[in-house]
Amino acid sequence: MDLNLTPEQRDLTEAMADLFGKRSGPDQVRACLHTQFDEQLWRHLTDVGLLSLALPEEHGGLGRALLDAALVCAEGGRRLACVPLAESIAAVRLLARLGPVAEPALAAALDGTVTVLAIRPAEDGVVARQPWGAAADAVVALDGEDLVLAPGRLPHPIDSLGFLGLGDRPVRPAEGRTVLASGDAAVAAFTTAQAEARVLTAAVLGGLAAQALQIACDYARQRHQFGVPIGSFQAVQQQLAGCCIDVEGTQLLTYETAWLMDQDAPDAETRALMAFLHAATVAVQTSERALHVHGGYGFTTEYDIHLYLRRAKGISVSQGDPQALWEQIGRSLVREA
Amino acid sequence: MDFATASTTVSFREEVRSFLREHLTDDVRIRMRETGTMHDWGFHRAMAAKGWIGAGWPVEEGGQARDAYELDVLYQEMAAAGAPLDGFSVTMIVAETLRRIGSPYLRDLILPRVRAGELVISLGYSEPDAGSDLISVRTSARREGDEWVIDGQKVFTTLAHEAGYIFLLARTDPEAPPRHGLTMFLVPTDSAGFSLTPIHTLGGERTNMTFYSGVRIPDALRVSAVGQGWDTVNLALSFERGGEFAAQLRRLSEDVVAWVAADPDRQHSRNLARIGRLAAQVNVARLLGLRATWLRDTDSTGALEGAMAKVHATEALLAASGEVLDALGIEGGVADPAVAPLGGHLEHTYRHAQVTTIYGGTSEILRGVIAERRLGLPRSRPPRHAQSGR
Repeated sequence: MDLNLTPEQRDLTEAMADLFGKRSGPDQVRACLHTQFDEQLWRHLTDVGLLSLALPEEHGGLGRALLDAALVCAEGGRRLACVPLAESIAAVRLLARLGPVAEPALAAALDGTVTVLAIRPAEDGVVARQPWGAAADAVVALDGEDLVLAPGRLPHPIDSLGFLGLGDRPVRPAEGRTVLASGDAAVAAFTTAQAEARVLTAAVLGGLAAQALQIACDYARQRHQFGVPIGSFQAVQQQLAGCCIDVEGTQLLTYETAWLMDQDAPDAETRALMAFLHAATVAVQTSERALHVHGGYGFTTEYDIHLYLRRAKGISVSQGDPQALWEQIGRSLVREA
Repeated sequence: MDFATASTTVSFREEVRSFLREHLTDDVRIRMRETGTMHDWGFHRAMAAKGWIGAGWPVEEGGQARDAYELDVLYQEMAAAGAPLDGFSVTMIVAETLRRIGSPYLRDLILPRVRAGELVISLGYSEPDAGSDLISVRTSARREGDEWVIDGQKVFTTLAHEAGYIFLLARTDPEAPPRHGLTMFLVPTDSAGFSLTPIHTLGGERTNMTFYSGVRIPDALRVSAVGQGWDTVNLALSFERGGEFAAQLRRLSEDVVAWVAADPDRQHSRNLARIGRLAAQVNVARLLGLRATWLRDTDSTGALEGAMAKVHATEALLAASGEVLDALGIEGGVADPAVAPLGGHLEHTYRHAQVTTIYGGTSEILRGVIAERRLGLPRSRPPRHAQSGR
């Protein structure tokens, strides 16, 4: 047991904090609220090889672990990055596992073609409300018993709470669809990729929640009422301390889950879903409380905190009703008992 | 980052579980339920025979040099099984303190008997008017030659009716600033002028009010330097553990999963979602506890992280144990072990859970500490004179 970051992980985290700190954040979010996709950030991330980070070396990757990818996602989450992180990293890892049939798509993705995994399977040939689905050049989706790569790009995103660049993506386009796998193999490959995308999304949410808490604490130290900083009021402190416990707890849950998946642990799918749902709960609650600490200013669009709340809740509902997903976890636990 | 569990921890967990199967008998459980005393001399001596009292101490001190993870496992498995642990856990806090700062005389007097499982010691901190505000204790100790004369009253002196000594925080200098006027003593429970009355609790656990009326003890039973009792109580507080709460939460989760799995009619969406959420809390509680243990095992004390783990696990236990009774519906309120689901364990857990967010530092006190030390928020406590009314 060693919960310290390794020197390599620390370097990576610092570099990513620096990168996202300079190139993403509330100002960039406001600048691309219309397109809901930060093209410049995406180009830069492609140039520095973000997608190849957690790919095996034989696929031209750096051979880093899923856990390391999670650390990167957390930094992106902190700065509300308007690019697919979890969805694209999971997609390229999936493509790499699929062998020759997926090689062209993998090469294109590493070259900057925006390729995202649809975490929800397609229904009636469409992945509805796919995050980053407007900007994506290609979507990898499970369509029935086929795992397919469906190209195309939509002119506009559907405006959304989480400014996630949603798009309704047909996965049976007239031309250009590639079937990557079929039958049990397709379902198995999809299930693994889905779990990876979920744990990476949990990392995004953990970073987001940590930053929302930080913003609230900074504000509570600086804002004075009744002649004292509002952060000295117990009513405020109790709320924020509770968030602090939740945020650190969810980060531990996420990173342990990623670590377990790196070890090929057997119950990874359930754990990944749990990590996502818990992180979503914590991120929503933390950003709601953080907004509340700002009083009336928190409700205005001049302050940044509302962007955190929007993104947190937007991601939280992006995989369907959380209650139904919690049930899914309960069902698998009961089945094992 | 590496979350791997050492093989020594895994094998020790198995050893503790097998000990529990042998020694945590129905007789022991029934006795606990009937008396409310969460200590059993037979069980305690069996632990001593295994060398588990002081298991973390160096071999030359009669210990087994077990690491922080193994000690955690010991507490967790005992707590999850509902073993009589109070005597062990409270006595270890005192023994650890004596190991660090006790005089050679006190160490020789106390530690061998503790290790042998022949002696338990109660904590005499809280008073009717000094709970979370411990610095306001008023029980007095007045020096007369080579003796101290103690007068006052302590509350929640759990196990005082089984203990050989009370680890007593007393005011020795009423004129000094509050934190400099306190001293720590060991008061023998067979002293003239010592008495107690039981206090019964919602959770069925018995505790005590203890009274000190002109109790005379030799100066040799003084634990701290005169006037340094506040430092000593803080040292002792640093030895309080929190792993038992995460273990109780895990047990609750396992019980509920088994209860739901036993009958398809119980596998409706509400219960399944409850199980899912509870499982997430179990994992978070385990990980927050593990992080505190990891820090304890390296160089830091992990006190703040321990506080975070304690607040999370106890708040989750409180919420989940209530949810579980909801899930049981009308059966949730049944206490009779003969007819209640799981022998009434769930109903009892709900009652017991109420105290967990109170003792060992209330959630509010601990969140206040986290707000100041983790989040860097400005100090909130009112000035002392406003608190104590002095």
